[in-house]
Amino acid sequence: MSSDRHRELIERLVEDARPVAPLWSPAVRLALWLGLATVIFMLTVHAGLRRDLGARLGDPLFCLELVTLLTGAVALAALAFRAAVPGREPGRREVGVAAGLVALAAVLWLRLPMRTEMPISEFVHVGSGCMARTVLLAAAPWAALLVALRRGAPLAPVTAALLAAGAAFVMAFAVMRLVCNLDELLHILVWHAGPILGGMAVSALIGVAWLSRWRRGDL
Amino acid sequence: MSAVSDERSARRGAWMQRVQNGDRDAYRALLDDIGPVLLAFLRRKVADPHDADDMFQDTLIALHRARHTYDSSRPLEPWLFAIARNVAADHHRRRLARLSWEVLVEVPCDVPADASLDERDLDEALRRLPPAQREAFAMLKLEGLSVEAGAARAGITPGALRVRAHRAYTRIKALLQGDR
Repeated sequence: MSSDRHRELIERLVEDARPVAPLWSPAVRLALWLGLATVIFMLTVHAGLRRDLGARLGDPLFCLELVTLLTGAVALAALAFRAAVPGREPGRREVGVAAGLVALAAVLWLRLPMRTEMPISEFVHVGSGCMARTVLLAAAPWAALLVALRRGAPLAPVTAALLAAGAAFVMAFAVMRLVCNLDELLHILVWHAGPILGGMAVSALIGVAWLSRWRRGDL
Repeated sequence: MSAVSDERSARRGAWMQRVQNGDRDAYRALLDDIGPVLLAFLRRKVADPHDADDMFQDTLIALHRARHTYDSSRPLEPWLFAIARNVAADHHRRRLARLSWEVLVEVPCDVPADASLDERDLDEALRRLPPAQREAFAMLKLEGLSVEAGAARAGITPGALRVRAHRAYTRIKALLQGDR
């Protein structure tokens, strides 16, 4: 530590050592995030669920799909919170398990009919409504996650942002399965799963532009 | 971990907790304690000691900005070395990007070598460049300065000089081709 340059920097850092509020643990932040997600879920229930929900919940595969989606969303959110803490970043295997849960749900969609005889205009009209609702449901949890990540120090900001979008949009997708009456594969893929991919793309850009800023700027 | 390293780790964790409360003495003690360890870690990552010094500085700044994310119930070292590893990885990425710029800059500019060109055309093209780009081109290609020397003279980083020079070549080429 003989270098004058290093000594000078250390003195500058010491000079700048104001008290900071320690970040809450990922578990506490996840619990708060789940609270927000629950509020949104309750509002959705209040607004109305699909007409045949009772019958659908009698289908074990539908229940398995919901469970894997919700578990996957919570796992992705947990990993996102950890991604904001140096030394606690999720490993590839953990991300793989969370993504695998969502992939399992996607495999379960294959049992659905591709498309009924719906005219294209109706397909677009009904679908765009579903897409808007998916984005609306995901918006608050997604924004909350991004703000929480920005409060931390994500060493891999793009990965952190992708996990955040994955968590919020998969959660919204699961809720939409309780709301939307259509069980058609094409509808689900285009209007329900499409926003997940779109949200992740936008989130990656946010990761590059915004989440990486914690390391920039003057002391 | 041995009892000694456990004790050292606990001491560092306690210092860091005090740093989060704004304790400057604890901060100085912590940085003095981890400095040699960090520097040795970074020197194992790169061959050039100057690069290791730069990475060390970047690591300390990143540590400072991320100090609120340290969880005092956990050992400090995984947190610290995750930051250092990330800084080293960033450094390697930037180095690769810089090398690719160097390749771009080192590609000989075919336009001035063209025998059909009048020297006055080149002068005119140079005159029409923004001053910063003209200066970059003149230093690297007319005066033959190295990128480092040119950057030092212009008061900018070598990377920024390379970018300016590359833009100058592209602009000159376009201007000369437009004149033909």
